[in-house]
Amino acid sequence: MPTSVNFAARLFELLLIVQEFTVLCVQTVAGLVRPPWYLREIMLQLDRIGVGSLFIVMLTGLFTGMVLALQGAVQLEPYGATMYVSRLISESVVRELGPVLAALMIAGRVGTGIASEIASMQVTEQIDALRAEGTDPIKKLATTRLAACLIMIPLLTVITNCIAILGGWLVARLYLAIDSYFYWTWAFEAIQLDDIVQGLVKPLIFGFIIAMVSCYAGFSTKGGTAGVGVSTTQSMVYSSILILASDFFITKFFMAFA
Amino acid sequence: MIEFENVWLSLGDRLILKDVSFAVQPGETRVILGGSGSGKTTLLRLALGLYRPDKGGIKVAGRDITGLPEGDLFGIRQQMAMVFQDAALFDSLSVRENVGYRLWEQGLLSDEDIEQKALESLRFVGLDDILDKMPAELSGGMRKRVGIARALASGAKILLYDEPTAGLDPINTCVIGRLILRLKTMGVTQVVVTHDLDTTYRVADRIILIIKGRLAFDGTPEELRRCEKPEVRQFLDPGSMPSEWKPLPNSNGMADEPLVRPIATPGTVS
Repeated sequence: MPTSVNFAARLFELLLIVQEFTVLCVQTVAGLVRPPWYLREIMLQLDRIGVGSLFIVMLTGLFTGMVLALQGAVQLEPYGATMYVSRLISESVVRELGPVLAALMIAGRVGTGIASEIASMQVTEQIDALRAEGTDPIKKLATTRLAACLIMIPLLTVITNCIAILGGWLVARLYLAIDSYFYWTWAFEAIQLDDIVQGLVKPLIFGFIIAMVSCYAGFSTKGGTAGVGVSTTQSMVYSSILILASDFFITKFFMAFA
Repeated sequence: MIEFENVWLSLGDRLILKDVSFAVQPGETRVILGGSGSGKTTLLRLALGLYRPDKGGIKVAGRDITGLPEGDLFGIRQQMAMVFQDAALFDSLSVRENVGYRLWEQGLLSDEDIEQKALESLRFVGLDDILDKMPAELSGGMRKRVGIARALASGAKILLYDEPTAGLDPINTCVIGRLILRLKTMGVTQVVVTHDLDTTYRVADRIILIIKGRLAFDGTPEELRRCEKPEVRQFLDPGSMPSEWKPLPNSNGMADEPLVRPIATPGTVS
């Protein structure tokens, strides 16, 4: 087949995926504002996504803060500014590292879980069974997971940020011998209102990306159990790429209006 | 109750159904026979509105469902219940929750009434002692019976079965056959997709035979036994075919015209 035909076919396929993804997003978001609400399912997902991910995001935050303190101290030492390391930690964690690293960890833990669960339901006809029982599977499965992600991922990000700054303090206090009062004063001094807004808007968007990409990967599963593996991998890969790419554009957006 | 009129359906580049027409009357037990990949299950999915035909029309309870949006189909589906091939029980729910699922969703009954209905349905299929088990803990036969209990509890007027006896031992096959017969005596409209001839002759009021996506036969079990059409005889008694015979798939993976290769007589096969 000529290359141009191949390219056109691939492009058409890509456009079809974008169209399907957009339709799924619209239907899922529309489900947020019309009953039934599936509160029991939302509570279950809040627990799975929130409580279930708490340990991993706390560890991520702790070690990120500790490493930042070590690396920051090395960079600031020639200028005699090691004592200001908490400024560097708090600002970089709240603005960038906290939201992005937490989102990547949650995409790995929660996103793949959502994708594999829905994919398994797809290949074992459980999605068809839901439809046959008169249930809208998008509302039951996608909307509930989106709601849980939108609530829990910003909360988890705030926890990651706090633990990261705490981890930085541990290294600053025990390894760099920086005074605690000095550390915390400069840590809070560095954070401005727009940092907090940016640090909360990002996880909200990342939560949307994780939920929707994972649900789409699950619903579009084909090819039996092998397809479940493919969908799970796809959800992780595409979520990560979209998180990193959108982070750049959100940052650009905030810088333009700062 | 269910009417198919000149239904055509393609999935991807495969032509699945070609000009299929039949009607299922209220209270009738209709068996859809056919080989693997002949399009039997697709007929059930079309009846539920899970697929939409390319051409032709489908009516359920007098209402044309062909062009209905998904939201309106949910109401139509409340009148039907399907027993899927592998039961398709919800993994995350217990047997009790699976059986009472539709009633929970409808929210019209109290929790106690739903429990009672679930228990009655499970008692009907002889499984009232496994209420709190999870689907993963059940055998294939038990899963199918729970699937039937789920369909019964929903109070649907039409029950659709996709290969209810596939992969089951003779005892479980017999149990499922008896359940279908009991429901038949209760006046439930049933459509059973199978390639199990014994079960077919036991339960069917009328039978249709689908071969390569085409309706090859529509009639009573007695008429099927007497039918002399070569493709029907081939399906009913494949052992009578000469060993050299092989189906010839076309580019769609389906044999096209002629549906049946002429049977070679001894001495003419090289």
